[in-house]
Amino acid sequence: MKIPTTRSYQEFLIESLRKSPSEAAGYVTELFEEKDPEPELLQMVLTDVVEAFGERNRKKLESLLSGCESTPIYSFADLLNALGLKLTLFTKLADAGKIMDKGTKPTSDRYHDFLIERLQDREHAAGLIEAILEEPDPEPELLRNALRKVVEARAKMNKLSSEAKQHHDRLDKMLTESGCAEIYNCVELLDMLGFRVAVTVKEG
Amino acid sequence: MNKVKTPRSDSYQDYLIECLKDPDAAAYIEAILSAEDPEPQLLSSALQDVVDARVKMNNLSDKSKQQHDRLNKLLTESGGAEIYNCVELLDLLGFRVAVTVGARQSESFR
Repeated sequence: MKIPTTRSYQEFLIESLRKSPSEAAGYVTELFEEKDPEPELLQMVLTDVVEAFGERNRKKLESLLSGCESTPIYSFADLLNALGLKLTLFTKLADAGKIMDKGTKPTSDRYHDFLIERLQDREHAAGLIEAILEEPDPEPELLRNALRKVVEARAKMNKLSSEAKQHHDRLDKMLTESGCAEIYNCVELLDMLGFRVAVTVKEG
Repeated sequence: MNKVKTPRSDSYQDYLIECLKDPDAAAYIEAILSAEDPEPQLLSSALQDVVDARVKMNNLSDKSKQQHDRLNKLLTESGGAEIYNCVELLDLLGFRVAVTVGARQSESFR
């Protein structure tokens, strides 16, 4: 692998932001976690994001960008921080679809594809399952849906063994009947006893 | 409290309580969850041990007790099939399920 020059790193960065709107959201969020950020940092970060997504409405975005002064924005983030709050950015679902896909699929399909694509990342998939297990009052089908999507994402990458597939089919049937009662109740008991269930990516 | 379990000697109970202080209890449950080819009663008897230890320490709320009863009923019927299948699927997909001491109660427990 060749060592990235500043310029190719910049391109790589913009390309990866373009691929994943949620990563772009994370990129901006991180800025607000910086201690004593330089005044020009905000403009740099936002310029990258505009570069990544501003194909169609560049002019408008650039004029909005020029109005983003770092001092008041940093002060706002500092104030929130002092109050024990945190500024976090998320993608709007509809816009995420708009950004991701230039085709004509209906939004729900595009969003589905977007989700599946993200779930190909193991860390993300582990995080999703763990978050569902931590839900205080989860809907019965929540876990089942998530497992299905994780399995679908794997299958798309041709990384689903037939053993895992069979296993999933069996589990899916069980969860359909039970509404995941056993799992949710077990996690709930563990929580009451002061334990937490974590899902991580196995190493190796 | 009526237990439908094999009675255990006092010294074993004491040993158990010693062993099932929080971080170890978490590791114990985690080990049980990742057991290969687990016997049907393994999980419910492990949870029973943890709950027993809490009772001995006077550290089990009524709510937790009710929750344990509810879960125990489910596990008796199913032998924990749903949980074991889920853990095994996650394992096949390359994930690990860990049980840790949650931040929420670990302080009050000390």
